[in-house]
Amino acid sequence: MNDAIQGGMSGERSELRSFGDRVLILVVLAFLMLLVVLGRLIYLQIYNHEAYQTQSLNNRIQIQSIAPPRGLIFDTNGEILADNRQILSLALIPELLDDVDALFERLSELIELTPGDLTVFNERIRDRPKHDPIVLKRDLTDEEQAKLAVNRHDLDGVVVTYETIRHYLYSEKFVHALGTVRRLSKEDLGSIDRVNYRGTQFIGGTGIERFYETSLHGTVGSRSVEVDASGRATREQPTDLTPPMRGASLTLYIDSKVQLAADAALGDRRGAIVAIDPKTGGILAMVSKPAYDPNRMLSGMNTQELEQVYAHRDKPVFNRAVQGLYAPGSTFKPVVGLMALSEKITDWSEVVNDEGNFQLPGSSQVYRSWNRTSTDAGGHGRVDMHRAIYRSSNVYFYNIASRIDVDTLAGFASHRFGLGRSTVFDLHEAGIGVVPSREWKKSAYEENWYPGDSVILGIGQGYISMTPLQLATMATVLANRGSWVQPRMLKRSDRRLTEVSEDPESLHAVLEPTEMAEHWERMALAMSAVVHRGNQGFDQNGTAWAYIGLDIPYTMAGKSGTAQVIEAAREGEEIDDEERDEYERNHALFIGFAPLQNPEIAVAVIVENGGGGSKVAAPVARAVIDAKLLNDPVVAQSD
Amino acid sequence: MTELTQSDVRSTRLVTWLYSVRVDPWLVLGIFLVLALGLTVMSGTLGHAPSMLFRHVFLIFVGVIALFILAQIPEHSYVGLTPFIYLGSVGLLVYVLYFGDEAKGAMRWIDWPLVPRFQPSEILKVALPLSIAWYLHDKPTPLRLSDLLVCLIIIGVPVACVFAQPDFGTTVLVTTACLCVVFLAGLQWRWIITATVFAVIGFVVAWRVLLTEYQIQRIMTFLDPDRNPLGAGWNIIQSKIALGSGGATGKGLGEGTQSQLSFLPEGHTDFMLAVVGEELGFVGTATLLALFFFIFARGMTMCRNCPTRFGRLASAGFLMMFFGYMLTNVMMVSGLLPVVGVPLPLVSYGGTSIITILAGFGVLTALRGR
Repeated sequence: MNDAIQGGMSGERSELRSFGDRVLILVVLAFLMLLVVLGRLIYLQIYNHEAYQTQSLNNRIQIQSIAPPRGLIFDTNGEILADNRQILSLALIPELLDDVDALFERLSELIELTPGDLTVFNERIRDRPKHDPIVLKRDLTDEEQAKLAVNRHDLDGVVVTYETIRHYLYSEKFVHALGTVRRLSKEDLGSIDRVNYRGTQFIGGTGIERFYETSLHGTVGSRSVEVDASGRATREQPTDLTPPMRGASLTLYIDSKVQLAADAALGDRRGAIVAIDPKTGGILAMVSKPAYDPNRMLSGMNTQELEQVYAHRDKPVFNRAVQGLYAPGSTFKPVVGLMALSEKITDWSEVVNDEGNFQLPGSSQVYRSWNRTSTDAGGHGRVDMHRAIYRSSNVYFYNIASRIDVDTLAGFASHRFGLGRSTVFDLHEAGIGVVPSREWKKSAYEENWYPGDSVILGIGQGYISMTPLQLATMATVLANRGSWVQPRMLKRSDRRLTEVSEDPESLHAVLEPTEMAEHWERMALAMSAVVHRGNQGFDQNGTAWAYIGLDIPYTMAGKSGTAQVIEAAREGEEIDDEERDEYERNHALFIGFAPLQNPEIAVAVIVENGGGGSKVAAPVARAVIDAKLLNDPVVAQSD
Repeated sequence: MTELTQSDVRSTRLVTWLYSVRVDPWLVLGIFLVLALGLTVMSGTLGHAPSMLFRHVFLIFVGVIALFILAQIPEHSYVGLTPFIYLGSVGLLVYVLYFGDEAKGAMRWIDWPLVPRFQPSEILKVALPLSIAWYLHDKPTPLRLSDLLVCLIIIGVPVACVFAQPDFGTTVLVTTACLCVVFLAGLQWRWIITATVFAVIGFVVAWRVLLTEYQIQRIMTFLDPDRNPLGAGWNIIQSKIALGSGGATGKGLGEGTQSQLSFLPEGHTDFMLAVVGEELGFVGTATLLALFFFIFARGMTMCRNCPTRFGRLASAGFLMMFFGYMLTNVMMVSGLLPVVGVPLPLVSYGGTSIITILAGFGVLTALRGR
């Protein structure tokens, strides 16, 4: 025992000695490191003092970054759609301000300011160096500028600065076709190359501006600027260190003539139009309404105005053309028909007797025709596939759909027409929509697929939904007699882009097996009867003939659709449209392409709560096609 | 005659109480001189932002109070408290990874109501040396392998959280200081040599295989700042100009063009030494370094005289941490190391750092005993 204690004592003593030795080692090491550091300071501060002294004096030359000019955007014919312009802005230098509120009062007497401007300014001021000018009001008018110049002597800390901002030449008319830039926010700082964005205040927010952001942005440059004793730039030195490299210029498939015609044809109604060149998949026009003015949003809007845009019931910021989801209604019938033909469920000669009503065996649920009245069930008599398309027979397609397998239809619609997936080449925000299948319903609703679900799917109602871009893609595939092309915005650029790995013009895969060619051709003919079959007597003409077919100077194929908005659609019931609130009325749809042979344009139109597809949407589609095919188009204003 | 008056009794009690207050005058003198030097220079740099300066002074005040309070806690209490301190800091570090506030691309901050924003990784500067000392204080002296492994786990868990934030500078410094504690606790020399060999091999592998583009970029910028005069190289170039142009005696307080004209970014935080060097010259920087070494040496003397093994190990670990931060910062500012974002202890602007360092000296004083 005693030994153990003694051993413990001597162990502690030796531990203490070893500890002392090791502390000494660390202290000596620390001292040596200190000498190294001191040596370094002597080297910098004594030995090299003069060299650094000179550099410090020359440091009145400050290196500043030069933001690269953002790449331009052109339409397919080389017409400019988006460029940059310089605006004058009123900015304040925080470190020179004594009383911001008093200064704000003083400025309000000279130029128009709102309390919201001050709030925004106070937000911007945070996290920024105090010697940086912070913008208070953008885009000064000449008059405001003059007033400020006259009163400059008693406005300390107030400067007028140049800012380069994006300018959209057609403002709201192209806003959803191009997308817009937005101001860089604090959240962006984590995801961007901060050096490359020094001096830049905007970043692509939506659409093309967002997808091709890296290329459009370009590369930052730097220059030396002489500064005065207080650190402000006096005059620019001619010695640029590195010039900025401007962003890539993009040429889109967008055709201004078609886009403007589409914009005019939709007028003030809510809805969307997408037009595609079937040969290339190039998107010729993309309209979504209501829209907003991106130029005002970037330069002049105060907080209240911004709030109005963002909180508006009709969502002007929302791009219906690529994000809005709608039931396709009867425009989906050609897809159902072609699927049934390819699976040999039916052929062109099968005849169904359409008395206006359809019932599944053993069910009391009645599915109705669109042309019924209060006294008559409607219907179209004896219909084959051809007639079922140009008369848009619901009963025929209820019948066909009740015999198909929904999973096969989903596969066909997805594989052939790109439905239920995002196929567009260069838009991040494109919606996906729903092509229902057994599995989908199981996961979305935890329910089995019922035969009734298939019946209403036959007329494009129920669970199915798609974007106007997908509707236009569907029209494109019909125009191409089954050949697939990928819809795309970019036609070419003036340099290789980082966003696309391959040549954008090289992606045209043709999937069509030959035995289906006859079916696709006959479907196109049936769709042309929708527009051209006329003068055959009551209830015998193509559904759209009376509205667009009378004076048409070219051949066109189309299909109208009327999509139910309210829940009754699920039950196959139709309610008289006139009775409803505006926002509960049916959506009017139309898809089409022209000319019938060698189509040059495929188009999809949706007019929200517009009513009947043939009456409301078809004339809009016609106007868009006119703009593409006719040299001097007559802009058709329907209703 | 010998009867004591009421006031005599009171004053005697006061004197006894004052004698019982644990303060190390030399240590406190050194700390106060560094604080004073730092504040003098900072008042020039932050002259345009009196609210920030006021906040800094307030935090120093809080830190000094913490120093004196922590110094009065009996040394054996720290032994019992340490496991809770350890678990608490690990908890905060895990919390910050999931719910922390992001600043400059790293999740480091906790922003709770009623408490100023703080970085839990700072707490490690005090907590981790205490924890290692707590584990090792009753273990036999030639260290057993199992004890070494436990130590590595104790260090590894919180440090991994810091690394994930990511905060490379803190990771390296905290680990190094804790390894010093293990060394002081009696790590055998042959293990040290083996570990060194493996470390060298590991370093070569890391350099060749594991380093990302971004990290290589950072190192290349360090080696040749002129490669990227607008980016990360800017700070190094400007800070060297600031130091060099200060010369032997400096440009005078508030006269530093580098810092006053905002050529030197973060002049009040990580690059504070450059401002000292520019305005007070080599005299200023050398004085500051001498004061730092004085604090360190005085602390080490106190550490050697600690009555307990726990106290010796914990205070040595904290002092290594303190000196390591100082050295790293000075090497970074003078261009000997890449910019790793490590503050200069007691001098740089930044609340959590200044409070934890001062609190750490409080703990050091307490562990010294009487």
